[in-house]
Amino acid sequence: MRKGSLPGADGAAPLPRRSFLKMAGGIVAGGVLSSSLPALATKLIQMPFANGGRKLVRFPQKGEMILLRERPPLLETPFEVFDKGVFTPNDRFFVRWHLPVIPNSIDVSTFHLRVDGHVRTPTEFTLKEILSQPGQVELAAVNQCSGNSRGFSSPRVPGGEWGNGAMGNALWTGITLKSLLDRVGVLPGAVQVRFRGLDFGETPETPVLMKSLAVDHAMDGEVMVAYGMNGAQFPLLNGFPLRLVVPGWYSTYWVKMLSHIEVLEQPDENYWMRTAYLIPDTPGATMAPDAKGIKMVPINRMVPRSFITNLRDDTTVRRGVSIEVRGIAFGGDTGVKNIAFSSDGGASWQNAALGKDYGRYSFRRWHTSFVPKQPGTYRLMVNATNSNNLSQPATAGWNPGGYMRNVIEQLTVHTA
Amino acid sequence: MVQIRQRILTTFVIGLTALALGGALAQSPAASGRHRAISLTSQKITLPFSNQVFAGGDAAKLANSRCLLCHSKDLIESQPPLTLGTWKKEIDKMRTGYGCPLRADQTDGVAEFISHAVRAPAGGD
Repeated sequence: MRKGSLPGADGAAPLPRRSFLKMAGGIVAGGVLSSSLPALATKLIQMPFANGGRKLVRFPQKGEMILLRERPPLLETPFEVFDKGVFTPNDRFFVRWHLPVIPNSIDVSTFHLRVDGHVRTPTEFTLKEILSQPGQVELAAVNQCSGNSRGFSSPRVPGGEWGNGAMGNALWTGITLKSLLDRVGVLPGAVQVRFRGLDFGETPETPVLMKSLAVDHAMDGEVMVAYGMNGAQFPLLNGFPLRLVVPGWYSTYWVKMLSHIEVLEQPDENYWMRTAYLIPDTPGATMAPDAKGIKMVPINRMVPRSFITNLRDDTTVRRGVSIEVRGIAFGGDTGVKNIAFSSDGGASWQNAALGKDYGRYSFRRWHTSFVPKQPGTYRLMVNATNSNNLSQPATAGWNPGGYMRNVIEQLTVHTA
Repeated sequence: MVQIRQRILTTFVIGLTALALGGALAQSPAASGRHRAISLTSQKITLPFSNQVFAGGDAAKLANSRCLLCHSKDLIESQPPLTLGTWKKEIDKMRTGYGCPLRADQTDGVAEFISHAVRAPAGGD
């Protein structure tokens, strides 16, 4: 795939040929070329932060999504989707790619997943084998971008400026990673298992996206090589045909278009583990913006979050009648134990009723109600506590990557 | 795997090869229940290819040929208001971390161009 490079016209560092030619076309046009997308953009929306103007677009195999970046695609789930059910439809599930060269075509008859490295029998598995061998499982789990809600960071940080829609919940179908690793035989001395997909960068220097898990984690029987999402194959942009599912861990580990699993004898020092996706090694992964010398570690387990999904901020409600409030929650790396709701800005709390339990890694629906007896403004808040007794913080943490936001969400309603 | 890159957004095409599987309904301790049979069908889509570029002189050309080599312009435009120093750090991260083919001595010029090209609307924080 990689082609030779030629010097840039300005004598700068070499540039891959195809890309140079591509961009030269744009430059000749003097910046007046229109994008291919505005024709599809039917609506504009404003996220509640600076530079938050977004288009609503439709990409192949996807429904209406919030466009954060066209190439490589960053597509956010419009928040109203989360009010419609506990599972996020495949065509509304968020999309996040790091590298610009993404295969646009997958042939299921020739696709292989290679499993090698520090193993007894390096093996290439066909899709037919992955779909038919022992170890088939189905599990509901939340898939959430490490930087979900980054746009709300204060002070703001650069990156993908997501609202709250870089998350989703699906029923994943696949084969346990353990069963594949047992088939190839992990040798003594293995420390990590590394995963990569089929996407790559425009320059040979762009580090290919690879993520690693400890061997014990990889062998826990829950980490899954999934081929199904809510009962169907993956949309290509969500990682068709195979995606790693790491229940309870941030999406950066859920490698899409998974094509290679490598058992390592040494800790993975690649860019995406050593430099990118690091969080402060502090409680709540929070630090002062001007702090120096903080120890940083790879992001890992998720933390609890909860959201009101049926009311928007600044909504008008009727006084003296019961107002239904409902939403979703998840416990992070374990189940939801309790949802507390406040209609008075946190002065008092009541427990919400929990919906059906689809397993500890899933979204959990909740609902409650309150009666705004007096005219005025009501500050609604919701706080999830997980089964490890971890609750959401009252004030937002901060870190330079804008990762792991899970502050107690709140919104205001007014009586008519 | 065919890795063809096309630049015009059209509808996607479902391939003809189907991988049907039946019957595999084993159960493991981690499973929430019997898994459903899913069949896989080859897929082909055409992704949009943004041709939005910066207008201007040499600095715009540099930003177009380097920044937009790997990502579309909307990523830059959706950044929060950043100081010139933060833009320099971001561009340097692209250069040293992500293989952006930019010389070290070109970083400041691109940062200055972008920090002026990307402005928050009035009333932004």
